[in-house]
Amino acid sequence: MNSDGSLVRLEGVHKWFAEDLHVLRGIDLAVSPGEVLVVIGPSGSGKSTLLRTINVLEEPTEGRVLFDGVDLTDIRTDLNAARTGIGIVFQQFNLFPHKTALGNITLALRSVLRLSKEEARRRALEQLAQVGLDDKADAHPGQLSGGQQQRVAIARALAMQPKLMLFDEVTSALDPELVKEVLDVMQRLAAEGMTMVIVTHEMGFAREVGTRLLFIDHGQIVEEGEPREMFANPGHERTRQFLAQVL
Amino acid sequence: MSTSQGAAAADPRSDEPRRPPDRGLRHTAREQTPVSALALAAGAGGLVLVFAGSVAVATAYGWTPTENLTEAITSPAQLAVLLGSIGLGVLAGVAGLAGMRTARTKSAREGSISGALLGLQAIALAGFLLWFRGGDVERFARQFFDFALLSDFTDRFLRAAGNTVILALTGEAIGIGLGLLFSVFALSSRAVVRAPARAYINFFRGTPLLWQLSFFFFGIVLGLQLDVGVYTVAILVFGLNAGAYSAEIFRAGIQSIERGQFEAARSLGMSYLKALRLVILPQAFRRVIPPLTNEFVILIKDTSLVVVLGLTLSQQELLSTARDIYAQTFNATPFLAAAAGYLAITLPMIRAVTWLERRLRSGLTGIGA
Repeated sequence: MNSDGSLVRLEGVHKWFAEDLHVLRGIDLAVSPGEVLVVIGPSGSGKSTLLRTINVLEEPTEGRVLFDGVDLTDIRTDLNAARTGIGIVFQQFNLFPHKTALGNITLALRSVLRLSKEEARRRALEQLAQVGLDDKADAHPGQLSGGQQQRVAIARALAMQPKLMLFDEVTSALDPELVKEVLDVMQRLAAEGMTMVIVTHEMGFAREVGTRLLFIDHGQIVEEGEPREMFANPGHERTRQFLAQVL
Repeated sequence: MSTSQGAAAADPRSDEPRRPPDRGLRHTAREQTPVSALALAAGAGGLVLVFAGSVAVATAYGWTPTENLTEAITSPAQLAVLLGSIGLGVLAGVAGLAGMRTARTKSAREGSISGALLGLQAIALAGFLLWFRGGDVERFARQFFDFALLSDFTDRFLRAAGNTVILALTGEAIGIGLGLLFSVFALSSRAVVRAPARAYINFFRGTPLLWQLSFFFFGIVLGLQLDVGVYTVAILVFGLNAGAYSAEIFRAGIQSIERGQFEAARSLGMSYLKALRLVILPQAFRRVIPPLTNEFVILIKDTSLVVVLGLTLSQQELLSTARDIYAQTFNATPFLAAAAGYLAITLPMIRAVTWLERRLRSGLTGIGA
């Protein structure tokens, strides 16, 4: 935990991809343990970049990222160690195609956390069972449906026993009938008290599961609040326009 | 959590996999019309006749000495074989064209087309041999087909083939190691790591292998009076040269792996090198097997350049052996033996790599390349 009681804190985060591509324009944000923060915003608003700065897949050009009492933007920080505490799930699953479902999960357990073969296997099977895929342990990603692949990806991240989970539009690449199985897993995870930051276009899910909603546009936080309240009564013109288009 | 939705489609265990209907050779044969069957039979027959007939005639007259072979090639029997093949080929072409039009099934049409094409190949081959036997066959046979002469040099050719394999295998092994290392250097975000790697790669890709061999042996080894053998230098230079090409192949392979793979590995806490070793390289390696094989085949043939360094008898590889025997006997048949030797090395190797590639890919269904 950070000194202010938050799990994640972003202070004055800016990101330029090029001199004229200012994607994040001064983000200040704190996420408390147990919070389910849902980030919404139009395409190109910087919401994915914001999410990816939290585990420093995108290095902020300016500003600080604090996670669990550690400054991730400090050059002296062991980023690899810190990242084991932050799970991330991607839009395109990014499963390792040369490994089985089980192998995808055990790879980092063995090579990063240095668990024994048996312990890694036990923990991986446990996670696969949690997402309802223990019978797919030996399947390669190419043999799984999109929804199954994404659930394996979630299990892979959870097996590291992270304190924080990041979800980057995890249902956007899925066929509509496969979306629910992934959202169900996320909903259960939220109910268990996992701290989560979710970038999504699933507005129904945001309203049901989110404890806080963040609307960002042009790299800035426009508005934040309690999801149901914000959907019912957006306080900002820009939010109103966006919600009118997506709902 | 329900596994039923979406699971059934991909689950290989949920029900027996349905096989596609049999489209094998037997099916193709059953579907032929009389005309397409005639085209197939005539075309295949024509092609078989050129090969088997010519071999039979040569065997009847005797492959050695060359006088017998010359007699076989110019014999009326051989002429009959060639004209017969051409006749069958023409028949296949005509029947094929007719069958193509009247075919009612895809198999019958494919049979007609294949028959016509086989016939065309028979005509081309027989036609070439017909033209060939009109020339100075006696002289040619004496120069290139003196198989009796080869029997004196069997041991030398076997040793030569062994030397070729040694040069190519050790050179390629060093090359793959260097290539892997320098591809990673060439992809470094640090210019001070990238620059020397680029310099090495560009130098060894940009200068002729022949120059490299000469420079390292005559320049460095002889010039500096180093106590290093010809083979050591040759293997080292082959390794350095193959390394430069392999580095570019590996670099392309690594870059072809989606960025997300690297991000997923890093986000699980892996270091750059760990992600490379455990996630990127295993996938990249599968993708570079075909170009790497190509590079290896080129090296097998390029080992012949070692001849410029001056070889002792026991150091000679296939081509230098052929040249040496040619210089002794003024007979070119050893070159034919050398070509056969190269093919005997390269063809099984290509087969082995194809097998390996298919094995590595099984289970990776859905991973495009």
